[in-house]
Amino acid sequence: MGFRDAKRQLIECLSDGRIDHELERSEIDVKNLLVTGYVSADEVAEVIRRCRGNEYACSPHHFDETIDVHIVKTTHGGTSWYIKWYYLDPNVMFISVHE
Amino acid sequence: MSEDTIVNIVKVGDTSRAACDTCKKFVGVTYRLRDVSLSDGAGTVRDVIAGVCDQCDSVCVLPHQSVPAVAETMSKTRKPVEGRVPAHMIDILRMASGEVGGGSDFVPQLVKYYIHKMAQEDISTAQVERLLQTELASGKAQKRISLKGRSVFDDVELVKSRMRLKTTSDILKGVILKINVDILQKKNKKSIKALEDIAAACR
Repeated sequence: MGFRDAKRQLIECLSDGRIDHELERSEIDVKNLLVTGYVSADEVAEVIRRCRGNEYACSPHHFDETIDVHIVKTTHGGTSWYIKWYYLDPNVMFISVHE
Repeated sequence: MSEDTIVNIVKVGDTSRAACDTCKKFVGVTYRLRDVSLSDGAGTVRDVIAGVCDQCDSVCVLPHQSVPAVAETMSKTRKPVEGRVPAHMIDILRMASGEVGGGSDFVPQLVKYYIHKMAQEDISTAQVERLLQTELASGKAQKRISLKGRSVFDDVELVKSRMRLKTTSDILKGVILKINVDILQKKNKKSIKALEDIAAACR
């Protein structure tokens, strides 16, 4: 899956509320701005909507290499964003939404 | 949570699939009520619906519907920054807030802006320490300042670690004296413009 498809799929999931948050060590990452409610799904969608292909990377999930993990490092509203997710039908699973 | 975003709701007993950090593989999960800790150890979100690994019982995933419960716990566990300062410093803050188009309710934002700038090293902490040696820094600390926010506690701790000042009250006094110099005395255009924009957005 390329950047444009990953972006479209993520924005659809955000819009439909098909959102889950992966927990590392069974803990809530307090620096993850989406799971802590500091930013909304709409704000994340806006950041993703504006990012470009050269700000995107993709790598296989370390538990299952058939699953693509998508990473965006971009600047939006004067802030640097690091957003990492994968798609686990039918939801998006967020790993990181960090400033 | 935005009104525009629909939220898919899961119920206790629903099942799904997720990556289990303990089993190191994708597993079946069942949504159950669990207490889930915050990663900084500051608190626990009690009795929240979470996806639990069917094999090892670890909590693997949090549905987005649980975010308001997380936010509520976070807001309770974030410590406010509190200190006491002389009464004339509160007057400085009110005047400076007025100078940038904000009212008294903009005062906390004004102070937090400067503390953040110090944490980012955009404002010299050495300059702030010098201001604390001036006559204006003296006076009985009779007024209390309390600041809440996501980053202000961490910002103050960062500033403390860099400065010889060890109390929050001293840092607040230094910040207020710096605001006095920048906004009321020198009328620093760059700082005033930045704060005017923030004040306008907060109205």
